[in-house]
Amino acid sequence: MDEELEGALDTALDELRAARPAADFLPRLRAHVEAQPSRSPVQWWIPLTASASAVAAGVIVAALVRAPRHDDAVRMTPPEVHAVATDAAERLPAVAYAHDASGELRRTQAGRRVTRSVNAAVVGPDSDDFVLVPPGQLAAVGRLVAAINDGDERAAENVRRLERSPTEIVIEPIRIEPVVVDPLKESL
Amino acid sequence: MNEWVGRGVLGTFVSERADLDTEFEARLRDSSALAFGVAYGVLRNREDAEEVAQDAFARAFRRFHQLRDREAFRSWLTRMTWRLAIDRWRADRRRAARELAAAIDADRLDGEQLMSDRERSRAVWRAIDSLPDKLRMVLVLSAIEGHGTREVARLIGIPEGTVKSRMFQARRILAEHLRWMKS
Repeated sequence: MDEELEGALDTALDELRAARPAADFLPRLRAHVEAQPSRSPVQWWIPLTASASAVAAGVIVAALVRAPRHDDAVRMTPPEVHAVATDAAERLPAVAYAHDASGELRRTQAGRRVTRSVNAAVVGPDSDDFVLVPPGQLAAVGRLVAAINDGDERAAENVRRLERSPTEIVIEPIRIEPVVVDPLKESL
Repeated sequence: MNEWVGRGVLGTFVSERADLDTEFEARLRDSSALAFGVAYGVLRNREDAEEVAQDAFARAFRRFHQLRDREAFRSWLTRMTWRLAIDRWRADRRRAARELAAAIDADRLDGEQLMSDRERSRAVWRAIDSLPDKLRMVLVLSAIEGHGTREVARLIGIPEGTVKSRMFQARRILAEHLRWMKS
């Protein structure tokens, strides 16, 4: 850098070095700082605590609002017919028969989940009556049951039609007729 | 028992606050000139620089409890003051541009006259103001309170080598901008 420019730069920066605040700057600065709202740690605790409380209250209210719906769903289930999710499959007897979407009767095994294509499985009379429903259709079956309980004849007729369909297949024991073997003739 | 615990907690809280106030008061005495110098380096107006320094200290006071490394207070305050000053300088730049245009007109009227020191200084500051922010900051900080390279590096939080490199770069750009002065 040229000496002349260097000198000009130093002169300009000297101006900066020489700059001083007013004599009363420090007292004014102190007064300005003291006029600021308190920086106590409580200040940031208050909104934090308030926010946390509000969130917690919201969660509790949401839980309370949702809970009665589950109770209603349970209450809608009539005592005669139980609508249960497929998780209850282990309560079925060893062998059960189910109607698939096309109405065809299919054999299912207990302890295994009924496939999604199965709408309902009606269990034989020697156990409790269950309607086995995929979880997504539980509400629909609940409405059907409620309609029956309310005296809806159409709904009742549908169920009666279902009851008339074969729910149990009895396989007759195989009879094996005794085989009569004629005694061999004496050879010539 | 509860009353005793309440008093204990309150007592601790009050005591802690008093300690903070005492500590901040000490920082305020130590660093007020620094804050003013940084602001003045950008704004070059005493009243404006005092206002910005006050704002910076007010902000520092409100956030002082968040500062974990109390030894870094001067560096923290410098950066805060610089940002506030630059914001204000940018906001006032339009007004400054009008003043500058008037000054240039005045210079033209005295075209034949040799530049006075004051006019040269004004031209140098215009060139400094046009520097990139990081180069300008190094130059200004090195000029106030007799800061050496190490102190400037500590205030900005960069290595000393970077400070030297930026100083060199700043002077090179200024030499290019002020080349016309030689003629």
